[in-house]
Amino acid sequence: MRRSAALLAAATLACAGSLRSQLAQVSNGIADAANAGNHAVLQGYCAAQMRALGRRGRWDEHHCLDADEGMAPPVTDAERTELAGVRERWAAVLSASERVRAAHEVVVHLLEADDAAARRRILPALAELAAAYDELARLGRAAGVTLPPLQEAP
Amino acid sequence: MTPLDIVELVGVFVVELTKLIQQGVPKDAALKRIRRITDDAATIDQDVDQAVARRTRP
Repeated sequence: MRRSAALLAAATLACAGSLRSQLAQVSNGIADAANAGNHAVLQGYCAAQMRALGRRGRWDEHHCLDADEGMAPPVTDAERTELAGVRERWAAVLSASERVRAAHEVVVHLLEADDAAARRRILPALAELAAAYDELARLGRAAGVTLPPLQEAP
Repeated sequence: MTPLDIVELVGVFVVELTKLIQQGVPKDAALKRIRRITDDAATIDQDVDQAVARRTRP
């Protein structure tokens, strides 16, 4: 009987190890999607601001560049107003992106801690993270940016 | 299997499970982080502000 119990415990250990590994994969998959999404958000934010000034913007990972060649006329009051509006509309997207990052940090800390208390909190934390990502994707869509879909859990 | 066997099996299983919970599980996977977006967004604001300044009449 003790051998059966030991086998059962070993199987549970394997399942638990596999579960953590799978949760880590889910967390990493969300990190990959969010980082790719951040690139799209920054590209969209740069382009939207430059568009408000009648130019084409390009985010090169370091700066927002004016992709149009040649001199541009002085900025008009209407363009300044439009620029302020763009920043106001995109503030919600940027905040949502920060909420995704914060929710992901919680998940990473729980996976790193990996104690009994952390294991109890990990699934609700992942659910919060997924909800935060969904909200970012929704706000991004409204701003004209498509974020990568989250992969199904393995 | 007698009722006593079942009690013993459950007892041993609970002990092993308790050990497992106390030990935790292997930390084998490298965990990725999400890059902070706020600094890059502030850079974009700054770049656009500079573009506006360049196009402002003296």
